[in-house]
Amino acid sequence: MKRALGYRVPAALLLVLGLFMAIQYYIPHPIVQAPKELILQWKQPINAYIIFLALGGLVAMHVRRVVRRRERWGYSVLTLAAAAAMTFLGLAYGIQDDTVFADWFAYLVTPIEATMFSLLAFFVASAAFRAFRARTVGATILLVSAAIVMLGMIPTVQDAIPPLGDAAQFLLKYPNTAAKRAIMVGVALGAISVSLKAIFGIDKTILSKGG
Amino acid sequence: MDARPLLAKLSRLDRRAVFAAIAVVVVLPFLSPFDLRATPSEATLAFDAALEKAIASGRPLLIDVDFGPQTVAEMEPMLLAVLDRVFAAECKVVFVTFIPEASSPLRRYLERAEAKHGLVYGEDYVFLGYGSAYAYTMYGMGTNIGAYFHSDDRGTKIAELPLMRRVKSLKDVAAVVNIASNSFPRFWVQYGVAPFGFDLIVGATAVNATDYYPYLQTGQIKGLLAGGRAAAEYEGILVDRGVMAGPGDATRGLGSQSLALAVILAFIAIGNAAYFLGRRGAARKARP
Amino acid sequence: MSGDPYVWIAAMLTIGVFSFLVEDNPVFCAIEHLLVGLSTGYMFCVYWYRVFVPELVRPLWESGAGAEAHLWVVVAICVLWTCKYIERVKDLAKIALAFWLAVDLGLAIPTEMDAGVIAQVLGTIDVSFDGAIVNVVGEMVLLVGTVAALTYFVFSKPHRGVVGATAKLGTWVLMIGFGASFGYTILSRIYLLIGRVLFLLRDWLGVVG
Repeated sequence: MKRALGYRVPAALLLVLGLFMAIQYYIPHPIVQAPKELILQWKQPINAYIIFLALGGLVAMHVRRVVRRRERWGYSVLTLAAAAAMTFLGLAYGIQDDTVFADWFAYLVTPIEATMFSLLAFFVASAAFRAFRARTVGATILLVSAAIVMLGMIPTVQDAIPPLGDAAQFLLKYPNTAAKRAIMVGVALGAISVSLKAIFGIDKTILSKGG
Repeated sequence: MDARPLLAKLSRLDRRAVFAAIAVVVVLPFLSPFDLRATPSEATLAFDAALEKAIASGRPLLIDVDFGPQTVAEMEPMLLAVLDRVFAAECKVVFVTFIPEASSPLRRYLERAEAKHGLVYGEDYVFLGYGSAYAYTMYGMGTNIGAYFHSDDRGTKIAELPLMRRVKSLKDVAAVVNIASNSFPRFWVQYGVAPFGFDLIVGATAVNATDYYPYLQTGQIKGLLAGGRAAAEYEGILVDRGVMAGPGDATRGLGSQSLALAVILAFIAIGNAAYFLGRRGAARKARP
Repeated sequence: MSGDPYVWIAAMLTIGVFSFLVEDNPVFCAIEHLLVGLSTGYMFCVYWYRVFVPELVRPLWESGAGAEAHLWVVVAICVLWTCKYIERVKDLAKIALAFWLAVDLGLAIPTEMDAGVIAQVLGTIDVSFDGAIVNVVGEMVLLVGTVAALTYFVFSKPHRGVVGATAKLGTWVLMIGFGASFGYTILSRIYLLIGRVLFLLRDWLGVVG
């Protein structure tokens, strides 16, 4: 019974439902499309529930850190207080535009997140300065390509040397497209392969047989 | 004069000096502004043409806004320019977002647009709100939007909104415009364009934009705004057309962008010059 | 200078995050943890109001055993998923996982084939010889470059002879693509910094119009 519930039932469900979702793409008949619509509608609330579980796990981790007085537990108190305050504001007063909830998001969350990502400008400049060396043929091609694209983005350079702007556009439109297309096709074929192996039970690790 | 010792010293510059240099070149153009104009690229012109074609069809648009606070500086000017264009043309628009951190800011953008253009909610535009399980909701919207959004962002039932009586699935829209800082345009192509064949017009961060050129080449994406620079290009197009009264933040940032790019290229050149001169010196010393 | 207290709070938080550039410090650490907490609360409320209640709770409440009765399957799957945390019944969670994976993986097969393989291959071989010479050259570069880059990824054949030379060319094509991505990445990051600088100079200090 344990083995049936732990592996055989989920594997059978994966096989039947997985094949159904693949085949329905080619069959527009309502008898196939109706159950597909229901299955896709189920995804939204299930996704929300999984997020609730994940958020609960995060809160539990910080609570454990405070209770056991782990290292930097004071910061966890701040995290829990912020989470509690934001949740209270949202549930008590709503989340529409004219609420404190929306103001806190606009003036607390947004500047912090935006500034954290803006730090990348400094780090990418520092990293490029320290590590970007044309040591090999490949690295030199990468460097030259990056330099052409960057110079082509500067309006004064583009106006002064029009062929540079044209060269940047040529690089983006043709060799860059070729490179990204090859990666895209490779990834797509890999995804199809992994999906087929999982659905047909060739790759058993996905449902952790024996677990 | 032997530049090697100077270059070697420069290549060991403290990273905080690099940070300071970047900060200075970004701040300076705002204190002493100089006018720059970005020449539109092919991809930007394609975006403009595709959006104009969609507006001219007279059918509603679906605009999916998928950027959060992390990339607001790059994406907000793009979105504001698109909003100005579509609402100036009195186009009807259904808005949606598939990331939770976009729902709150998008509400504020739409409230400002409503005040600016005298829009009527429910007739001129609708905000469906945040839709979870993005890929599957995109796929489901191809046949039935109401099954995935029982109510809009304000809690009103979809059937009660006049615009949503016209837009029941993605077949009823002229185009889908996706302003995204993540890889959602790829999902729109995979789960939207491939099965249902509508026009997809994309605004993306520069980081992701290079990945969408294959889709642009095949026609799966009809037009592409690639980052803040492309947003400045599009602002220029709209200013020339009289849709925007003046340049937006993307154009204002062109000076800082240009100087910062030049400084970073200079740093890379210094680092490589020091590396190669150092290598040549070491090789000379090693020769008997 | 702005008189709005919220703008001042945002400015102080911005400067606090920028302090990390000097060195890691308690102010930055505190702001990091504040962000985690605020984001947790925000996500919970958005998912509650925008997904869980309108797409599950309200339809079930209003319809019960009616038109939306199929949503009881969602309730069952959520209960199965929660079994993950209970040692005696944790295997039941695999049924919920199997449902989730079946939809993801099943739908990925035809869509990836359609959008990621067939359309891309057709786009590559559809070479047009009309138009300017630079476009014709570009189309040839696209065709040869794609084949070469794809050859690089064929690891089941040794990269020797013609295959080796093609794979080498493919490496160079990939390097051009990565170079373009690098250039655009720098551009993107700079714009993020421009946004924060504009906020500080315009919205907070008011020194820029």
